[in-house]
Amino acid sequence: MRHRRTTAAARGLVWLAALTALMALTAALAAPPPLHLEDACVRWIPAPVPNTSLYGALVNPTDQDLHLVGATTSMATSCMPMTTRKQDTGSPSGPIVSMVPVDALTVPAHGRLKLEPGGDHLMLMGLTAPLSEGTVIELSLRFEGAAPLTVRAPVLRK
Amino acid sequence: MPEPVDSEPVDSAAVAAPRRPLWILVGALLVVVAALVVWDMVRPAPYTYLSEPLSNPTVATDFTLQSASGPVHLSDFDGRVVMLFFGYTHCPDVCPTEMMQLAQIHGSLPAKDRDRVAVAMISVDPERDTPEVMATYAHAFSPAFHGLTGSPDAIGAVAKQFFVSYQKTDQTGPDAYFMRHTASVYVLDPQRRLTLIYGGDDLANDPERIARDLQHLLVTAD
Repeated sequence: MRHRRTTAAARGLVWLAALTALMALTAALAAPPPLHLEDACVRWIPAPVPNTSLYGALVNPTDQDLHLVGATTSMATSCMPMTTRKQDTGSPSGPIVSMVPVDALTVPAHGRLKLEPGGDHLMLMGLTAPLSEGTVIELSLRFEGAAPLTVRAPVLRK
Repeated sequence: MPEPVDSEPVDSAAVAAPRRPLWILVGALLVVVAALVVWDMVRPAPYTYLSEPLSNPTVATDFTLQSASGPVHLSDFDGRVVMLFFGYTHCPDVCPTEMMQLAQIHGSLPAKDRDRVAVAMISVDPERDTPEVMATYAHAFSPAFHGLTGSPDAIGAVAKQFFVSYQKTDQTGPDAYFMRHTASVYVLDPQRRLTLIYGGDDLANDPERIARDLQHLLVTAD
């Protein structure tokens, strides 16, 4: 009799463990992915041109704004957040464009920051080696008040 | 008893006679209107460029700049459509974007037209952009492209002609600076007349239409 009761208790424990594992799995699947970079790419540029850019979309699922302040990579001597601005002077020749270094680019809470040609981007200055299409570059993106994010971006002609 | 009337046919002919020219006139008018409608349907519509053509196209003054293979004169391209873009190779964003778009447009042209459209990038950063650097850069986007540079004075004179502005910004060292500059594309027709100006947004939004514009400029010149 006692033996039967023990077996039933063991079975109950197994079911409880299974249920707990299932709940944990469901929670893990339902949880939003942490801060990440979608559609990442580093623009291919011919040597000896020393500068290029990282593009993509930074997605921030957290409750607080995150500020991209820079990055480190073995492929460049420095990385800085930049934005491209167009100034319409009224000239028939069209607007004047300039790239402006900024202290930080903000990824809004529960939002995204697009890094795209002609807009906000992360500039890679002083390339340490010629870029080859298709190779993957690893970068550690630095954020103010948040842990660095390691991303891998293929070199693309785009 | 009334007399039989036998003059009625004569009367009806007399009434019909003056109506005949009227019907002929109406018929002729209908034919003319129908012909006009058909002509309007089949005639080619006037071509509309993506960029409004300049109302006062003036012939660009000839200039000489340097390429890796020697001096290049603007007049070397006479008889071809010429696309001029002013930029610099250290630019990591706008310049390579527009060069790639120009390569896409140029590459989409039929081969016979491609040879008749010259694309040249002119450096606004002659201190860093040597003829060799410009050649490497331009050819990386298309082997057919021309990379041109020159002395600061020569570049300045060419830029002035096209109302192109440029200046150094954010200089942190002798070799560390950016350029702010006009980033439009200037299109000269085969008679070297400045005809169209495209902005960067035009290149991004409607490259197919720009390719058609270039082909139309060539057809108009033939």
